[in-house]
Amino acid sequence: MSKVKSAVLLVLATIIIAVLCAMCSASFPIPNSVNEYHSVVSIIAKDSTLGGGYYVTYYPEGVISAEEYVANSNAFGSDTEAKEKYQAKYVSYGTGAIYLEKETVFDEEANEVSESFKEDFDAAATAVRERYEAQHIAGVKVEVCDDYTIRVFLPDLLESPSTTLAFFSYTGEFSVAYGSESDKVIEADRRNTINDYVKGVSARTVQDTSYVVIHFTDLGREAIKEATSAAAEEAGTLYVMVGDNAVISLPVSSQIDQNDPYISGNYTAETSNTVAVLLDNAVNGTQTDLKLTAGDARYLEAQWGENTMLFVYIGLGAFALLSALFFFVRYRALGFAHLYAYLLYLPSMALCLAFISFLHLSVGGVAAIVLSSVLMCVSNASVFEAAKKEYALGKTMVSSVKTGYKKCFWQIFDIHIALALAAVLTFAIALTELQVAAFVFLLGVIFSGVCVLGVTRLMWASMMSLSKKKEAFCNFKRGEDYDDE
Amino acid sequence: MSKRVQTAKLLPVWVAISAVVILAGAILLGLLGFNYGADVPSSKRFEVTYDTVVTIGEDTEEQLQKLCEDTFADNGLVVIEKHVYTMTGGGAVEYVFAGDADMDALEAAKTAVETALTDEDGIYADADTSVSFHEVERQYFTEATWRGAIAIAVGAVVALVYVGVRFGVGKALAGLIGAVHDSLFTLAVVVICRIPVFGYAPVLFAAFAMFISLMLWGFVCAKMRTNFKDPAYVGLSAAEAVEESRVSALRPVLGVVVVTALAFALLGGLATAGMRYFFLPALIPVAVGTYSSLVLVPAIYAQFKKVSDRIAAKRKRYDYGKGKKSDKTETA
Repeated sequence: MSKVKSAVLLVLATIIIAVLCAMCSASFPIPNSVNEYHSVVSIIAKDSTLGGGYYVTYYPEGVISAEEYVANSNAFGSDTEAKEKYQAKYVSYGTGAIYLEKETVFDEEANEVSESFKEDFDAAATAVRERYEAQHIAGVKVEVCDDYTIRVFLPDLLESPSTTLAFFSYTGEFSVAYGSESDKVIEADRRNTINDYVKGVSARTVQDTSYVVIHFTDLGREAIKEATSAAAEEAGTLYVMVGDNAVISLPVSSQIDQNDPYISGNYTAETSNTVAVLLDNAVNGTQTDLKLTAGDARYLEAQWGENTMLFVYIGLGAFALLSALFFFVRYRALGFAHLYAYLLYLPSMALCLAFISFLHLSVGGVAAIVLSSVLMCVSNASVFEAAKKEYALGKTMVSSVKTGYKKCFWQIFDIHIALALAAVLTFAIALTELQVAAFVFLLGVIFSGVCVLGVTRLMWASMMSLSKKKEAFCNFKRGEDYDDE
Repeated sequence: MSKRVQTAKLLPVWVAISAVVILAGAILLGLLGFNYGADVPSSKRFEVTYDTVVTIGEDTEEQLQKLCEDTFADNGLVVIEKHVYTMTGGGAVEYVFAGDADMDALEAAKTAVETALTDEDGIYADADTSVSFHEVERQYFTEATWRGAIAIAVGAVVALVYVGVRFGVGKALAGLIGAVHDSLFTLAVVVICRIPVFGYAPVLFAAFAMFISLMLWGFVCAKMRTNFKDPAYVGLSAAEAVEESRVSALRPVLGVVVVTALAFALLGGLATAGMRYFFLPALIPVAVGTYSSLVLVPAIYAQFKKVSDRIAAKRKRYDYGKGKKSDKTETA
């Protein structure tokens, strides 16, 4: 490579890397504007431990919080009789954090929570857990609080968490109505269960349009076909319900005669998935009629503390610094070739994490970044060592570099391919945290391969051609056996 | 060269160590399960909710938190986690205690905080506050765990099919045993040492053990491929050849191990408590990977190579497959 070409390439690479690093790390107000530029790193979605999320408590029918009990009691003001009457309807439970309505929850004779309520609550808690589990979101937590309330933590990764939190509190049987919500077309009765009409519900997204797909059986298809037979003459609305809640309201202007109708609306991939999970759970999951009411949502900053991300960046920075230090000490100026490759690798990872929609930063993701960084550092070191060995044997610098890469190419290639294959398969099969970590690792392995076999070599060639003393540039020495005469 | 055949000779010892650890881990897993202490699966939570009077006041939230924390200290309660929430019209602070925290102490703390908050001369006199404490039981999801286990197994098998094509069947089989061993051994150590983990951490540890195992075995395989082509290796027995290659692979393997351990130790040491719960135990798969790629798997592979060398020699003797390299799979 000629000196001019090398210089141009180096300047270009330096500018690109500097711009990428600035884009990724610096946030600043845009001059003469009210807007602010947010760094790539700051817009990377984070899971609940590194980011934050929403907590909501679901109260079953007949259970209220102590706060609500006090507020309702105080609302009676000076009307002592009404206040006492209200208070007599409730009894404090457990730690005193919740109040149970005697009429609904209590077995008056045994003076304890009725067995039927306990069973209903267990079923409701199981149904809620099944729904959140089926949504496959990393970091979701479901907890039973004070024996008879359900606390749900939803990480700040969703576009519309309120939809999920509200929809997943719906309980009751799956039914389909046409015309009005009370005109049931499909519902479980003495002769047929709901599974005789509906096999399940799923979500699909095709070309940015998301659908909820209801999989009817032949019996279900017939029922819908018959109910909507006059829709061409008089349009009506088809309601897909869970308990008393209309989850889908579909205007119908022609007869529906399909086993798997695709229902679109203003769904995003996320909301269609939420609706499908809810409906599928009502059809195939744990059945419960216990009504749940969602309390006020609370927002929690990073679960592990607000400084967690800062310390992660410090840790990653310290690692990058130490690895660079190793290369500079062992290979002197050749360390720049590694540094350039590493500084290209890091922003590439950050850009992917920020702009690939299903990716977010999590503990597993950070570990995956570290592991792929290690792979890159060790691969670079292997090549440098191979070239050093060749040079010590008496080859020219250019020939040493060429032979070093030639000797290490298949080793590096094979390890990268094997790891990428493992990561792809893990990503395809696993769910939530491991799935994300596997994809981050896959990206890391790809970037590591490209950086080691492409960027480092290019940087090495261009930097070395500008150097007068190539031996000193790489800190390579001739072996003792070598005789240059 | 012949002096270095200890690793292969000691194979029964390595297998016994691994079997004992994995078996003990499996039994303890069945009896006690993982120690999900880092997740606080069963906890008591003390909560104070308040309105905007507290949130807009200067340092009022901090003073309220200090009041709570002083009260807990007075009552001998140890806080595990603290969460500060924002909500419409106010906020809340929640303190997490262990599941076996003393109820009487919590009750006393609740009364003390309530008294301080309702004091007419206090800074919270005009605020609408509520104090309560709760018993919380975490519900665990299982689908992600079993899907993760299948994913790790399938990922390892497919990666090692590639290793089989590129390096030979023996190395792939040994690598597969190594990857499965590393994942199980890591989990066993986590269970036996009762290391506190998060709900999803065991799956991540198992996956990282598999990735690290693949990476390290990849370096050893690459070294073997180069070395076995060397004429100096022709006269060596399988155990000797593997041992020599194992020793020559020490540098890249230890390179990966030291750098990974350094990075995990940095993140674990510098980061907040939650990160520490992940990154310090994450050193286990690194250590297990080192043991298996440098000790156990080469010893297993030496046995495979011994068999394949014997078959190759037999083929050569009877001149099977004329013109073919009879030991192609193992020496490629």
